[in-house]
Amino acid sequence: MTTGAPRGVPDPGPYPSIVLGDVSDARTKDGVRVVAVRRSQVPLVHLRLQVPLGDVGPRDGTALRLLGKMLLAGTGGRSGSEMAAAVQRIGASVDASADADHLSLTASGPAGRLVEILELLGEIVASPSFPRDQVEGERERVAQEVLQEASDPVAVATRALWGELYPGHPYADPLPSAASVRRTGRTSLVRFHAERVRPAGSTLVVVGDVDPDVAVGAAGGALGGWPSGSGAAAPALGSPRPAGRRSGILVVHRPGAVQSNIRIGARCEGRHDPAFPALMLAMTAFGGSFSSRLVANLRERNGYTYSPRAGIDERRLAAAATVRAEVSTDVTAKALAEIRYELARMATAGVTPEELETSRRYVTGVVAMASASQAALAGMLADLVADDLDPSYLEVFARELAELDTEPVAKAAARSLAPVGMTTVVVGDADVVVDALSTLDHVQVVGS
Amino acid sequence: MGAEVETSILANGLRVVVLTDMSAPVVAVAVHYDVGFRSEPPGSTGFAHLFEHLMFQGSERLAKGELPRLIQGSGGIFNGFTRPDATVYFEQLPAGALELALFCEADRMRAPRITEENLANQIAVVKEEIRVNVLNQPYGGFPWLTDLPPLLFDTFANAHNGYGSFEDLDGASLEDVQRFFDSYYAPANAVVTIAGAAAPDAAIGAVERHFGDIPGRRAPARPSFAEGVLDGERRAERVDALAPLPALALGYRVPDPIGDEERYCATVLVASLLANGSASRLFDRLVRRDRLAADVGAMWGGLDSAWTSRDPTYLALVVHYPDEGLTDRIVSAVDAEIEAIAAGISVSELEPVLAQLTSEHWMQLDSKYALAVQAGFFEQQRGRPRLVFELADHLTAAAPLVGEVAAEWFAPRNRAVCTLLAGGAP
Repeated sequence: MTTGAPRGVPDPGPYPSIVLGDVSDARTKDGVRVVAVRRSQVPLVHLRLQVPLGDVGPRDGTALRLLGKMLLAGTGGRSGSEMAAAVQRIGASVDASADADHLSLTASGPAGRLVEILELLGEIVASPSFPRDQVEGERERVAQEVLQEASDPVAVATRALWGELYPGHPYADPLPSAASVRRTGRTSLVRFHAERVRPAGSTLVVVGDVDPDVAVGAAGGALGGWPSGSGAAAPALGSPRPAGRRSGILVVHRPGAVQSNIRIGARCEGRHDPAFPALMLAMTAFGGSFSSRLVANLRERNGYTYSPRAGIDERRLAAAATVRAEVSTDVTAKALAEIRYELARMATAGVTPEELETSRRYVTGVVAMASASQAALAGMLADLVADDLDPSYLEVFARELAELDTEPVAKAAARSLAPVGMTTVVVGDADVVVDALSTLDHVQVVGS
Repeated sequence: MGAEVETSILANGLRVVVLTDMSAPVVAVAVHYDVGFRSEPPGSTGFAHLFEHLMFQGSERLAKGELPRLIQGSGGIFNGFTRPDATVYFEQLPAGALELALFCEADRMRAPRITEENLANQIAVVKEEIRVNVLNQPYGGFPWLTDLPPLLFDTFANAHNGYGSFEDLDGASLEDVQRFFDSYYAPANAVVTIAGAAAPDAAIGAVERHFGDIPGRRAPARPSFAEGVLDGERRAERVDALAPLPALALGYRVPDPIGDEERYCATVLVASLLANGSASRLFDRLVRRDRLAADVGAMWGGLDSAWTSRDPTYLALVVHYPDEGLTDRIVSAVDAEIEAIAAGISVSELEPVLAQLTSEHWMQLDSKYALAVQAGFFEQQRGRPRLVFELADHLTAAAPLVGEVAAEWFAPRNRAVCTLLAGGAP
């Protein structure tokens, strides 16, 4: 039998530590930066290839959406069906998608198949054939995706905020119409690929049960057939101009909605800014964890919402501090009032020493645990190296977190979380929510 | 991957599983209670899931909000989820915080502290969860919540909505809460699983220290939830006012995952041949070749994993497509592919599917909490936690049964077909 349970709450143990291990970091002759790290808990390997696409212009979301799908639709050597079979035969998986920053190819599979996976990735990125008989079908699939996304209030709300934070910039990423998707021709995709999908400036991350040096060497070989491209490279994407704050509340009318989707955001420091770690702790204490103020107030005290959260939306050239909550229609104004109250309290008074300590250990622990997982580490490193940072950033970031006290965190909160500097968007039933929202601020209603 | 697996059982009946892997300073704890949607009586729909929320509201030595603060403040994460046959809580933390997680789990297994105020608060939160995931979401809950279960099953236990009706949620009382806890949250009705950087003896000793003094009480007898075989194909349709395009679900009753494990494994192979990814037969035919659909996928019990439910359960093939007028052609194409599989599949067609399933399984075990959760399910429902490392062998061994299972279990008489009609603006 036992001697009775301990009465006190156990100590949380040593501070979580981030151990990256040996990193191989090199460039291929064509300018692809390859970063590889060994993680051996399961016999797999994960790859993330990211290709900067340059300035795609504010209205080229259609090409981005089609590009990912068409890369998997066939290459010079095989049809889409044959490619899918080749990937499956070795127990791998490959996916491709694109946004305003990058074309991203994601692959994983048995570690022993690394070379074959690399060769398939190389084939997909370098020699897609954009088969004529597949363009129409893929276009139709994207058109259907666009229609589904337009009906999803969570996606509509997020996109509405992007439009306010990055006006006129590709990061605003307005949803293309199904009609414009159906109009996109094969020729424009072929040209888009030839002009923009080039090795120079691309990054490849390999994490798994593999020797990092061997992985880097194999990557150089497998990507060697990727043509460096003729003609001038596409112009680089420029930073979005600073976004002015939209005053008042922008309501996107969604008749009959049983919930309102609240989004609040402001541009903020990104990873390259020395104040980033302090802002990360402020956001975490505000709404980035379950033990945050936002969750304690909106969910655990008032029951207005299921999963409110705040975080830093990290784009390569511009970050944004964002807050989101999906709340019952009848409490929309009350919930917004509470969010703005919590923002104001954080911006004026900062965090307590207890909140600082909890947030610091939480953020460090999450990074430490992610760096012990193959897939999560691959994702984190892919973001970092595509952002021109070194893998050691993870360790540096943790050290900087460990050294912060409440003062810089309060300063970061005052800069980025003051409600007066943030834009508010609400997707919901304007006929029901506008009167109450008008007691808080000026309201402008637009159609969905 | 061959983690060391140790099991133990405490005097109060609590089962303990430890999967040791010292490769990284991370540890996970999962606690499985043997109660889920299926145990809810009429008038109490959604109660198992509501109770899961209440378990985070404080306990004997932890005030409301303290568990999240302690776990996240150690550098860890936590969550919980409810399934037909289980309610699961888990933490993943730096290895040094193992005792802290065990303390928190033991404290709420001993005595959750639930007040009228917390109950009302979490009823409101659960309703918001239902609004965001179902009522305000196109395709919300399709087909797993209210579409396939009442078509495929005839008893209330198996057919009802596991999120619950607002009326039933509003009717939940503190007496219901106490009764549910007394019945289902006994140590003997639970499994504690630890995965990661924890030595077996030390981990079992720590579980003993924290949970050992929780008084033992009898685990509830689990009733049979068995259903008779379907007497023919069943069909239904409903309009989703938010969906801009239709969707189609074909639900198939499947062999007993435990009592008929070999045939169940063959069912997993058939489902993968049909609808697991872009190399699958249905993707190739419906999406790539005939362009009848935008995508096709397979869902187990309508949810995430083939390995969380006991009998009876089902497989759903879910198709998103542009036009209701194509429904019959899609169903015919599905039947044609099933007939082709039933007529005989060569080893060379199964090998890639086995390779894919093996990789997907390893990928799932990349995180320690996923390993603890899956091993916990296997201990709870089969008394075989090591199955988590042996699954690929069992799937491989089931290959000779694929044709027979496709013919028998994927026949139209053994399924329900549900169409979600688009009621939203395209």
